[in-house]
Amino acid sequence: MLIFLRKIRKSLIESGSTRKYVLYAIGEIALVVIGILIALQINNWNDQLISKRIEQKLLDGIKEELLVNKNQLEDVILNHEVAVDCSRKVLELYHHDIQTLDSEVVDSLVDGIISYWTFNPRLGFIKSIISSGRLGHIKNERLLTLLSQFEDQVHDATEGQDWAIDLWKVALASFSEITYQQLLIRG
Amino acid sequence: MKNNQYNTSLIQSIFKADYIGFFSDRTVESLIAQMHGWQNNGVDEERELLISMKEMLTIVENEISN
Repeated sequence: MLIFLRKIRKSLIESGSTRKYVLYAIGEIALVVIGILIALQINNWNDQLISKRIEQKLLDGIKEELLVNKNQLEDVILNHEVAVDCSRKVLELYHHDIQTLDSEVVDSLVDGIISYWTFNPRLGFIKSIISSGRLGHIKNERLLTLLSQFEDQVHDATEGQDWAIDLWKVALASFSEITYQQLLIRG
Repeated sequence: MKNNQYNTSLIQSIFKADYIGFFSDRTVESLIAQMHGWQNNGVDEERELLISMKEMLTIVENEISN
């Protein structure tokens, strides 16, 4: 190809026609530009292909982590709904005649509150995507927004359970102390 | 997911020893009311998180299949 072009250029110079040579030069420049554009396009396609492969791997990992967390959270919510119901029923007992309380019912309600599961999500993969800057490979804007909010949402969801557990411990400690003081007075 | 590390036998014994005393104590009632509030809020937040996770999963599955 280069030899062919060189021959044309040589013959045009020898013919002494400036107009033909200028036209030839424009044609050669156009060929070079087209060549560069094709190379850039191929490079772009290649980059897109690599990015798509990375995105697919990231999506597979996100899916796996989300599925594990979703299944766990569904179980935890069921457990917490029982605990909420039990604590509501315990509160209702305060407005009943204490002498008529059924100890088995009380025990069952207390069991319901005590067996309060905590949600411990797996966040390693999603965190690693964010910290390593690979989030840019994900194209879906809505997914990007949700992923960037995910850790905060998990924090909000687990904050409530931590407070509830702390208050339960305070309530028990408070009650134990009162009982102890009452025993001392009686003694 | 894990169950909380309560000494359940100790807690049960506290109740069994004096559950009537427990239900006469207004301080404890107030604490349980607060706990109930936090539990309720917690479950609401968990439901929101679950909705968000389900939406993410739907998007991810759609993106994988495309």
